Amino acid sequence: MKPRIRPIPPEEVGGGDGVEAERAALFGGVVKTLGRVANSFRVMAYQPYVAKMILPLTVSLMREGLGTTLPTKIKEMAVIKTSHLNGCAY
Amino acid sequence: MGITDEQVEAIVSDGYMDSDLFTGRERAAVLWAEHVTLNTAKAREDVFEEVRRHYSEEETVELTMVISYFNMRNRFQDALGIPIEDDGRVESISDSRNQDPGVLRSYIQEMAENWPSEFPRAPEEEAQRRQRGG
Repeated sequence: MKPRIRPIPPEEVGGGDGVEAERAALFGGVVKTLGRVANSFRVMAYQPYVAKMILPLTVSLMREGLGTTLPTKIKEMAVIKTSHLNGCAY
Repeated sequence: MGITDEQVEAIVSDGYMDSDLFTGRERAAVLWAEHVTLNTAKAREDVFEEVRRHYSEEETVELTMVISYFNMRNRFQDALGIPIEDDGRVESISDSRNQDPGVLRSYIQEMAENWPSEFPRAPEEEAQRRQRGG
């Protein structure tokens, strides 16, 4: 399936200010915390201010050592069931 | 340590509750994921009780947050036709599960420092404001 909204490649952003700078800061944060910029974040980047807040939410929820208590493995199992029931390849 | 392919197959099947590949806690997490996602959790006191047998209140809230959040992410992904990465891995399923709090703290600090004190108005809102003579 062709993407309905084109994922913004990280190499296209940066420089300037305003939204471009916000996207660059978002992608920088994604790389530092999640390791790489998944397509979902490349699309969320169309709304950089919201995406910038979704990132710490994602990291806090899915990683250990940031104040939550469940092991990531248990949560990954729940995510596999969730995505499968939604018919999502995620 | 990680989730095996065999376990993934069992999770996506209907028979996970009878599978001996999981601990009781793991089965309860998958069960809760199913009922929260299908939105049948509300009517199933028995399912909730099973979850609570294995998880504290804090853990139950955390697990429900994860499942609800991924329902949002699944819908976002599918509705906008966002392609899955070539290697089939997403950022949630990662080799490095532990996160240094300092990395997140510096991200949040940088975000706060650069947060605009004012946002440009949306074009529609601006037009309405002009109309009102505001």
